[in-house]
Amino acid sequence: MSRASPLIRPVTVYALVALVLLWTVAPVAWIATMSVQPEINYVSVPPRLRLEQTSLRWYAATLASPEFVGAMRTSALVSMATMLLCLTLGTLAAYPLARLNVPHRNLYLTLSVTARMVPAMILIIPMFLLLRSLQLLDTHLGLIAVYTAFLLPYVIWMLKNFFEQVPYALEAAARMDGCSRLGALVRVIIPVTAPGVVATAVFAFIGAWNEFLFGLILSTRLAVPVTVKLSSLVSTTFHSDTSLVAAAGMLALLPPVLLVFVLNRFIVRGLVEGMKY
Amino acid sequence: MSRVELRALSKTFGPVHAVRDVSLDIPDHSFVTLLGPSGCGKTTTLNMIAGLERVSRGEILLDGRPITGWAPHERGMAMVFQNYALYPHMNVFDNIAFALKLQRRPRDEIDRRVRATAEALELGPLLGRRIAQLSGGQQQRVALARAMVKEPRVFLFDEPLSNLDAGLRTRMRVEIKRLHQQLRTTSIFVTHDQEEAMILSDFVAVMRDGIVVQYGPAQEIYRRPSHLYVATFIGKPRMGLVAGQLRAAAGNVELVAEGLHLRWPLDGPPPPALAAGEREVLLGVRAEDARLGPPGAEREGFTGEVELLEPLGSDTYVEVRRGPHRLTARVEPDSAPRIGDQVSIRIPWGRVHLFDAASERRVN
Ligand SMILES: Nc1ncnc2c1ncn2[C@@H]1O[C@H](COP(=O)(O)OP(=O)(O)OP(=O)(O)O)[C@@H](O)[C@H]1O
Ligand SMILES: [Mg+2]
Repeated sequence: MSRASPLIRPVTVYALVALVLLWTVAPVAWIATMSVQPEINYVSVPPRLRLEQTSLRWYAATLASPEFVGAMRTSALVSMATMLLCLTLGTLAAYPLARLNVPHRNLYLTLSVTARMVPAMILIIPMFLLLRSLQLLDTHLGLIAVYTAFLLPYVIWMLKNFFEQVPYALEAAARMDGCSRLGALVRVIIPVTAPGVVATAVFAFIGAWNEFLFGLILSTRLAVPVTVKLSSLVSTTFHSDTSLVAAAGMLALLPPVLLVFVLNRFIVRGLVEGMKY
Repeated sequence: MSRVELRALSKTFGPVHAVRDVSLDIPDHSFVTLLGPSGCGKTTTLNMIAGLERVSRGEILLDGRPITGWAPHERGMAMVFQNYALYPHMNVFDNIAFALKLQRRPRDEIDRRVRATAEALELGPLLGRRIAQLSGGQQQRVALARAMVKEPRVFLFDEPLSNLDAGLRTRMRVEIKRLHQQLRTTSIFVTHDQEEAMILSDFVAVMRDGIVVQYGPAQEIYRRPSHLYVATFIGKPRMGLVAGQLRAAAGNVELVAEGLHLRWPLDGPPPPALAAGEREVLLGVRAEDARLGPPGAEREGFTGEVELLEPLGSDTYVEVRRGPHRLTARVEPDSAPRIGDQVSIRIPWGRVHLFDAASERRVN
């Protein structure tokens, strides 16, 4: 590269990073602003934000709504359960695929992910009928089952790749030291791949938390996830106050963001650095 | 008491015959090496002994009891791996203590045994370190400690030294030998380094393509290789070979090769190898058995030109060429000839190794 312009590279990089940040953060920042300002301030053209009118009362109102809090609880419960189920089943499936001589393993892996390429829309009706006959419509369990079914192939694929990176000798050492295969998985392989496992868990949690379509069709009253509740807020306009919708949106955003924030150290190591043995 | 017997042990991976009919008797207290080039089935054999790999056919006995289907930890064996295979998420202490913890030993016993073992391997000050903070040599010592602390009936080593630099390798080799002399635990050691095998072992099993070509005391493997493959694999420099026709004539044994005619007077009857008359052989002689001298009478020795000198300090190896044939002789550095000199190598009949040209088996 030319030595004359040592600044060009970093400047370009930072400019691009700033652009990407603007692109991703700006909408959220706008909603955050909306959630603490009266509607009239940002609906007017051009928007006129008034610092002295900043208030958290829309948050208070949202949190006082039992419907919304219930939806948050539903989403939290369903997402946590989906995450745990995906991790447990995913681990038990990924380990043999990574380590044992499973016949047709590639066929299985390809098929299980290809099946997920089918647009969700096409599966809605059969899924609805299936859950109805199982009497799982509008239940937490129903959502957990559907979300797990959808996320599990990806989870298996991700975990398999992480497990494959663990040197065979590490597992052999654990077995020589007295672990069963399952023991070696729990005591050595999973701890060693912890960053990857945590990243996978977050992926599953966010996947379940953000899901909308199936929640909309399969739940009506008792197990409505927060994404669906939010959209109903928008369409019924919840006392026709956009600030309330914005506050609810911010609240709905909170759990995944918190999760990523708390586990950030693990995730970055898992996704960027790769793993060290 | 820990004698390990392998009876016709075989392992197939689909179409690949990794190990075929390996039978070895590994006596108590002995140090046995599985020696062979890459891919010859050493690791697979060791893993079957350890219980890490399922046996396709055959049997493994420990002190006379069949243990073929036993889980690895039921066999009371400990293994040291090539890449150390230390648990990266535990510190040194926990690595060494792991097996004892799984055995649910009392805490004070674990503590005592881990510390004693660490002391013996000079790991005392490192017990609190993370694995990533150790050098390769230290990691290897932790791996040794992790195996030793279990007080196993059998030690298994899978090329434990091949990731170390040359100096460290020699030191660890000595350390392993010293440990074995102290503990007297039956040890099975896998390596592709013949020097390592010779230095460490009581017995050596030389392997090729999944079979054991020769198994015996290290000295015998060196002194009386049963197969051309063993003869050339063991020993540095490589055993010199001359291909030719061997025959007995008028009280002499003669080797007739391209541009070469060697003769040895015979005291007794012709060697049994020649019972059926003349035969095509490969005659081998090790550098230390070949005697270098001034060019002598034809037929008395192998006369030719010095092509290469390898001074090692203590000895010098002299490679002599004659036509298509090459032999190496060991000499004192002071009496080494110069490149291009005409010299002759005398080969004492009692020291030659004869291999059938077709079967490559030893015939004398
Ligand atoms: N899991 C496996 N699946 C298929 N083939 C295998 C497997 N493990 C080993 N092999 C084959 O079996 C043969 C013996 O392998 P092994 O690892 O025992 O050799 P080795 O003597 O230990 O070699 P090296 O010195 O390279 O470690 C090789 O041809 C290898 O390709
Ligand atoms: Mg090997």
